[in-house]
Amino acid sequence: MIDAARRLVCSVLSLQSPVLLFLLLLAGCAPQRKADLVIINGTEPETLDPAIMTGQPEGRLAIALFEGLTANDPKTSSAIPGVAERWDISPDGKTYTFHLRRCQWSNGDPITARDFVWSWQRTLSPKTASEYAYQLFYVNNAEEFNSGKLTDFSQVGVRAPNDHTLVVELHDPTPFFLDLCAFPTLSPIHRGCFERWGDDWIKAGKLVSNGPFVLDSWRINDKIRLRRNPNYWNTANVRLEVVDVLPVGSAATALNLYLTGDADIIWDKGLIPSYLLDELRKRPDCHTFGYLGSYFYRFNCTRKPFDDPRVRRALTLAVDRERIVTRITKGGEKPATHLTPPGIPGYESPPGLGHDPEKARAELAAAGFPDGKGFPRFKILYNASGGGAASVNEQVAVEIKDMWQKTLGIQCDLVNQEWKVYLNSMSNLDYDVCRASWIGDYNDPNTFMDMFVTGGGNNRTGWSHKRYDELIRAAGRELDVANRWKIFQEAEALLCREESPILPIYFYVGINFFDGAKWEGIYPNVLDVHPIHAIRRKNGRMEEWKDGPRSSQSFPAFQSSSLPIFHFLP
Amino acid sequence: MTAYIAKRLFFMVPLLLVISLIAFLLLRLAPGGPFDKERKMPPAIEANIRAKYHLDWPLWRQYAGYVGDLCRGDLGLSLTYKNWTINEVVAQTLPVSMALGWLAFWISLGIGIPLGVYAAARQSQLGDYGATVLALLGISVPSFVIGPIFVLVFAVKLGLFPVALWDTVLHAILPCSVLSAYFIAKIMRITREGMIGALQQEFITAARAKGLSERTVLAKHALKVGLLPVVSYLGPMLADLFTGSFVVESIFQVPGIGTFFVNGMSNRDTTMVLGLVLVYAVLLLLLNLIVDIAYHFLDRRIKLHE
Amino acid sequence: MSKSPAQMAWQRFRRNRAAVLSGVFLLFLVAGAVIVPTVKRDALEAISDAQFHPPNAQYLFGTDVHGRDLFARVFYGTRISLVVGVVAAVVSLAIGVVWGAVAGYKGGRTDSIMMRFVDVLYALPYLLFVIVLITTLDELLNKTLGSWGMPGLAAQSRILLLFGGLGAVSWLTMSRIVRGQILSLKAQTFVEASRAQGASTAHIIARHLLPNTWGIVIVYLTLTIPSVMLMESFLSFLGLGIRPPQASLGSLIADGKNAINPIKIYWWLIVFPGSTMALTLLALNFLGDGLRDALDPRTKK
Repeated sequence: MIDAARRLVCSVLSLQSPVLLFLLLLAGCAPQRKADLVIINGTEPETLDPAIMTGQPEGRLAIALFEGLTANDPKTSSAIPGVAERWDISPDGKTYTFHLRRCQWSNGDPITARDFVWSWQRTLSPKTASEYAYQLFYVNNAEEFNSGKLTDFSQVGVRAPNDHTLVVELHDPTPFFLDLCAFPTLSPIHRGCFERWGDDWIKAGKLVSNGPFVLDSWRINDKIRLRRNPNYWNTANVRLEVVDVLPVGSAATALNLYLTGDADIIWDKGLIPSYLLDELRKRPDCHTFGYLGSYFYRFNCTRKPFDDPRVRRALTLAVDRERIVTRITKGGEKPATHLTPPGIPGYESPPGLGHDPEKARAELAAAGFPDGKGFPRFKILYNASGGGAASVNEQVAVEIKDMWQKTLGIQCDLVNQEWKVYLNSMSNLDYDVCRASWIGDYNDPNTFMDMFVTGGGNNRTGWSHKRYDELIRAAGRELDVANRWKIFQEAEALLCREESPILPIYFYVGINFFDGAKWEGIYPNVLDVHPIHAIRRKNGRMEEWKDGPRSSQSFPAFQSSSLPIFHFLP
Repeated sequence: MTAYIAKRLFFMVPLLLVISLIAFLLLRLAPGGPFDKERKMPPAIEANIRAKYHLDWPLWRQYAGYVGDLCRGDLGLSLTYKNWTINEVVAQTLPVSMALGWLAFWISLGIGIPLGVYAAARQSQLGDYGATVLALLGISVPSFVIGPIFVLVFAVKLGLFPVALWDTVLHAILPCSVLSAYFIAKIMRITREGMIGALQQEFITAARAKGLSERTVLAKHALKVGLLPVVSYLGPMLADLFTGSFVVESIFQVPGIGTFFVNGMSNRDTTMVLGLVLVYAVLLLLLNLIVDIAYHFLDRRIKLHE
Repeated sequence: MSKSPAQMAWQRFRRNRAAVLSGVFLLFLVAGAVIVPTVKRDALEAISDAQFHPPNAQYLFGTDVHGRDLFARVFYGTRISLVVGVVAAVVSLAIGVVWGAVAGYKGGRTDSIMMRFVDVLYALPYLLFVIVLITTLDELLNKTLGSWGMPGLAAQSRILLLFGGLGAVSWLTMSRIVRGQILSLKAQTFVEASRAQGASTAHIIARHLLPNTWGIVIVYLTLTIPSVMLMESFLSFLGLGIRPPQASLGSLIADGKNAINPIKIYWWLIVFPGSTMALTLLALNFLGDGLRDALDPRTKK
């Protein structure tokens, strides 16, 4: 009987032998070079086109492949010279004259100011449908061009009087304009490459870029391989030859890859499991730092009873943020009582409404709901599908629901919607209270504060206040730094102490995992921007990196063969 | 036979159209669009994006356009992965999923069938109970629990295999094992059922009466009949293999097609979902056709034999 | 004196120790699933400061991230899982029995078309269909029920979709089984006699054929429940299962799988829900097998 089974297995396996043979043959083929650095970057990038990308993982790849007029300083993330080696700013702050250095694209073509004009035209073109085109709206007539009202780009405030000079005219003095120039949306694009290949232009083998790295290969959802760009003007200071950027979907997998040495860095917060943070933060290779992001709840100010500021203040005062950051998020987040995260140099937010149960009850009583009697049952909306980083939203909501019940005596229900549905509901003001977050685009309070102007697309609370609008507009025109900070402080006090259309909960922390003894060049900064070209191995030749904790396995032949055999199997 | 095959292939076309139409309508019904983002887009830009992907056309026209492209073999552009066409995505990811599934398929048969035969031969004795419990564990513990356990034990603690990714043969072993666990169990149970049923047939008693050894009885006579239910399960098994691979691909970061389907759904990436649904449907219908033909041949051989 | 077929079946069943044990276990489980959540009604949502405590005298199964008692949640989850399993199985039964009976009785062209349909559906991956269904119809159902003035039911839209969706992908095997039974019963004399007396098709199916198929139907019903429960756990893994604050065994396991990591293993979060589900599925499978062996006169013993 066992014989019969054996014979059966043999006959089944014999069908396998051609398959197995094929696999073994391929496995022994020429190995692909092992990368100098392997980074877990986040999810698969939706695009590498800097003009249309919107996500953080994409942004990190963009600053490796492209370089704008300015670049981000690896230490402070503030603007340093990029393609532009120096610039002049007019006294009224509205005209910038950039002097470009003599440098090249990755195919040897010289970079000229006309490349920037053409690239910005493409970004602003309605056909490109760039979601971040509004970053360029500070430029004269840019918004009109983008909405189609203006069709002649020569009227937009950017021109190239000669090959190496770029003049930009803004309609308001925008103090953070230089930071914006480092933003991927404002990157230059090689016109010839784009016109030749169309939508395919950012694929490996076709892409012509001007950053520290070029795109060596891009296997979707598998690996993006970057190679040092020898035509980059600063390539002498780039110490990495080959960098692999991995898209990983699950935090557990990311952690496992890191712990076994298959990855050197994890720098996407969403890929770090919050339930393990208590333990993980004790490790020396866990680097946490303040991050320019806010987690808060929105109140739907068009619905009763949330149209009453007393109700909103009561709900805000009843939340114990300490408990949430110690028990749920565990990343060392700072509890937030105001909107703008700390870390913007020179700016200090006024304190908002803290945790004060007595005052909360008093406010609620003043609003007509003593001890919560008569308060309608409402819903907290959040997105939490698919486990992962979003499960924190559910946990926070559970805690807050409990706090409101115990402190104020009011009841609510939790509604979990899928991401797209949740975005839809939030946009349509189809919620009572909803979870929200905002990441700053640049190092200035404006990126947070201008969300809540009347009718602003990112307001999504239905809140409107004339004084607030005035203050934000005034800040946009103010040249004096100290005055500007005062204006923002007044606006923030109005937003967070008096009106409270939002409930600030905590400020994000950036978390990076890497071995500080092996790698240098990764610095904590509030924008969580870590240009890859600044990273280097500490005191060691590049060849030595291969014998990390697990890379010299007992099956060297297989290990080094990273030929993608299964990608081509019929 | 040729006529049968031709007929089956012919009827695939309207079937695929119906499937794609249903999927298309359901996706358009779903709230939330592919371009909803955390930051609100200015209306002018939103209008432009929608125009680019023909989302401003009436529904029937969108669908007709889609089918027209389909006839030219063009599955369209992904709405989420903006520089990839669905054809490119399928070309890169489908071979991976197929390799994963193919290996798991044969591992499941290679282990499940002998186990089932063994259990049937030892029916109601300890060997049978033992094998049955093992098999039932395989179908009672979900693969997203088995997966992390395997990873923790074999990859992290024992260091025998890589924890994730898909580069070499070594990377394939854990994902395939996790995927096969469920199917080994199912195949074992079906084989056992089939063999028990076969062993009770009259021709078996006759063979035994003739004095043939137990081995010959099992291998030469009972096996052919006993394996028929397995062959008829192969069709749904392939379907289940495809779906089971979502979980495995997620745990092991295998660049397969399942991740794109699930993400496509949550991103409302209509072209992606439609394209993948069609790819799945075509594959499965073809594979089922092959299985049905195989079943037909096996069945005839048995009938001839008797 | 010869025993009736039912009595003989019962005797055969009793001799199958595994099946009997499973039956007893399931009875206890159902009792627990009914009693524990009712007794500990508040414990389901009561959060406390005792976060991630291992099992002790107060919290028999330990606590989770919110300090909630896992013991109560596991039994609550069992209740929900069993309800989903049973209702979906009944849905699949309703569709499958009708489909199989009609196909089997009518025979000929109708039969081959109907069964061809089943064959085709078998080939399609059910999970894709359920994912699409839940993602697309959840909001719609919610709004529709809300607009019909049933807010309570609207909040349950997800679980209703699970009932329907999971049932809709499970009826295929049932229809095949029922059709097979009907085909063999059809030829028997009592059916002929009934037809000769002028009874309608529906009458014959309902009064004569179906009662004789209940045995086999119960068996496959018992075997559909574990398959539905497993499917629900997959959906929970993808975030499309039971919505919080409700919990099912599947969602508890999907949450608990995070405990399997190399850093810190809060083992109770996965062991208790996981083994409850595994044991339940094991028991249901053993029970179903036992029932099938008992009802099938050809089993050797």
